[in-house]
Amino acid sequence: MKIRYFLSETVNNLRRNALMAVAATSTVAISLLLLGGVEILGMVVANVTNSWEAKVEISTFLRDDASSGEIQALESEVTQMPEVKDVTYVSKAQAYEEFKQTYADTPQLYEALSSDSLPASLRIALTDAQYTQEVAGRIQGSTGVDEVRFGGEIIRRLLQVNTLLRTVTLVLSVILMIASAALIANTIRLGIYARREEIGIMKLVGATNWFIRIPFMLEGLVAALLGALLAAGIVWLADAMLFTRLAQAVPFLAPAFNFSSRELMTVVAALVAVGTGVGLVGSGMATRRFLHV
Amino acid sequence: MIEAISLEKDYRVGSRALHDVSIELTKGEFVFIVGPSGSGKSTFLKLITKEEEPTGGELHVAGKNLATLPRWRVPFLRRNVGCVFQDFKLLPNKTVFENVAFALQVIGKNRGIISRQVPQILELVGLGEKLSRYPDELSGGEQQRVSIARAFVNRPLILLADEPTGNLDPATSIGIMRLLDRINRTGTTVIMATHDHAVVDSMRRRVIELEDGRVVRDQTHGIYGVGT
Repeated sequence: MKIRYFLSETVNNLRRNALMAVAATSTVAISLLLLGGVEILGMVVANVTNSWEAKVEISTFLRDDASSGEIQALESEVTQMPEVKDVTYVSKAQAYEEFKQTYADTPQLYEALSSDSLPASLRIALTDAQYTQEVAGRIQGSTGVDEVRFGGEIIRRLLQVNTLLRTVTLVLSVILMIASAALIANTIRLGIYARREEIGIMKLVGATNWFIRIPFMLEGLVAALLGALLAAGIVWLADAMLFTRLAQAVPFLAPAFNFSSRELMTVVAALVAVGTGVGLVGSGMATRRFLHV
Repeated sequence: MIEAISLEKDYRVGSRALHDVSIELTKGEFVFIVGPSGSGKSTFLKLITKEEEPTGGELHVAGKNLATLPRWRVPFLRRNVGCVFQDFKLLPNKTVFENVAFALQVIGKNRGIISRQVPQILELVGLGEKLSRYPDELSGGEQQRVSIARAFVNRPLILLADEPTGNLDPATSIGIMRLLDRINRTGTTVIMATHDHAVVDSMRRRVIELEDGRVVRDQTHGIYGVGT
């Protein structure tokens, strides 16, 4: 009886100010989509850094005036390091060939270089990416070494950009969530206004505050929940239609866009939970401020 | 049933609605509160339902001290106090039946009780044939009967009526008074604020007269006014 009453009141209220309800629902959806986007971005970056770390290499560029004796000494020294898995010597000629292959589409680039303009180098593969910094540091000062480069720098940059992007998007989605809560509150306020006569009589005959409040709270909750489900659905669809196909079409992106269904469920559940929270906050504000119960 | 001790009510500083009002009403009494507009009649009724808070004195209703009654208990107080108004306060988009049923519905009564009690009470007020009419299809007197039915359907201990005949012609008013009398005889305390001389004089019940927020007369079988 009571539950039926609450549900029918809720549906009536939503119908009565459908436009406001749609506005509130879509704001919730948009803010949660942003939030979902941030989460997905975080997952992509995590996947990328993981796969890059697995094959991180240290390139030790050699000075042009380094003697072959110095180079051999360095090579054997590095090979003996316990963290080092493999060392390859890349001569100037080999480096030029590789460069030519990499930029085969743009001959202007390699035609401008002569075959000895690129430095020779040692490519060092490690047993574990976590030693990169340490090994690079040890090699840095050795004789004949010009410059040491490793992927760690790129990974660090990527994480920095990711952090910045996450912060900006988070701030944006928090602002949007506040706006959603306000819109939900306003939707409910209109509902309360439309029914002020009934509410007056309810108070008069002794309806409890919660009895008066619940249909309006439900109204806000339903609006927010619909928005959350919309956002969650779009995230789910994006994974099924976009990311999976992208990973198939562009193999080198595959590791970045390959999420486990558990990861995806976590994102979806988080969106629904946050959406519910926004709905409760909005309804709470509205019933507290406008119902005067 | 109702005990007011030195009740005070100021709406704003300097404007006094009630001053030193002490009244005791026993169970089953029928009382008229009379006096000109602004004498504090409605204010007194609003204090009984805790719509307004007194600024001084004490008020006990149905054994409860209203000053110490927590906010969440107020709805339960109101279930014991039925209210009838000059403007009926019916919901225009609900039928006679639905208007009365609404009062039971929102205090959580189940459908069995509603479908039993509502026709019964509407029969009592003489509207047994008009359950599915809408308020705008009824005369003023009939609308007031619906509003009385709504106030009484839950069998409250106290019935407050604020100018219930204020919008009605004398003949219709007599019908409404008969109904209130009947309700009173079931043991319900009836308090009616009015300035309808004819009604008060015909009933010969206890009359409390307010003037500028003070009790100036409390008479057991009174008429509206000695000097009028």
